[in-house]
Amino acid sequence: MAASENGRSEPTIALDVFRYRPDQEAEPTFQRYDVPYRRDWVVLDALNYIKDHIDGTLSYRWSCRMGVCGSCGVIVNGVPVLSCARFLRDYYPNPIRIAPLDHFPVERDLMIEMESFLERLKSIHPWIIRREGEERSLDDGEHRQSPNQLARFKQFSMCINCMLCYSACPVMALEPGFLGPAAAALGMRYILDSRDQGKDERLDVISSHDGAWQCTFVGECSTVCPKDVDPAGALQQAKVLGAIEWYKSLLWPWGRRKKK
Amino acid sequence: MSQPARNAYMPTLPRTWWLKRWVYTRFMIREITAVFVAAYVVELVILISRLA
Repeated sequence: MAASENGRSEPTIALDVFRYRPDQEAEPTFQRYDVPYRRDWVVLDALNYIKDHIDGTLSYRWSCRMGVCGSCGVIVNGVPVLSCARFLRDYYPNPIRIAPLDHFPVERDLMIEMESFLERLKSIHPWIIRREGEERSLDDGEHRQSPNQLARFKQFSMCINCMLCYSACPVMALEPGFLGPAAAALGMRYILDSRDQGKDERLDVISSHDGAWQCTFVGECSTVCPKDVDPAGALQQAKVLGAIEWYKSLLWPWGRRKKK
Repeated sequence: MSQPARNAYMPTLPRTWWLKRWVYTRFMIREITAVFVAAYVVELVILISRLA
């Protein structure tokens, strides 16, 4: 309990926060902070309180504070979550242990290096690919899509790139080159898009050694996903698609379209 | 893949990573059942070969 301005003691909750200051220490530590407990506060509010009132050196990422930007991913009591989407009341009165996302290098405190994740996304070519000569001109108007065509890929388009799925996936730690759930879901988003003609190009990445086949269907990526993207489902769909295309290449190898 | 910055901290995965959470332990139990299935297949093959 901490004393408030009017003398009444207000409830507090303890946060054990991962601290890594590369300019000061070679190994990380956990530092305990006691913050006021408010029923409507989320973990991000507690981190902001620490930064504003207790320790301004604490480094972490956040932006929208409403679960749509994907910036504030952390590990809370061993589970990857968005810090803006977890209430303190779900943990009170026990202490909360906050650490940076697993399977990524830690830059400082709760901030991880994202370059490897961004490279994985880029490897999938996350843009509409049209075959040469089949690009629509402006005079032809926009691509039309029916609601059913949109529904095929809409779920996979809801990803906010929060990396919670990468943190939850044990294969990411065991196989550092693994493409990963979010990149596979992004690849399936474009493969299933009726406007896209880049399936062969993306399947070369998805069906590679470090692609979807490294997935052992643990399923934790879908469990922790805050947007219900179901990246595990995307990975299994990618495996099915890859297997079908492989059999097709065996049965009629002359039928494969030439790459752009 | 890009290399991490020189002073970035890369935690090492302990051998007991699968004990950290029940979902990982359950996954490993699921995977290890393949060993028993494989052993049974080998036994079946041996029995069938003896029948021949």
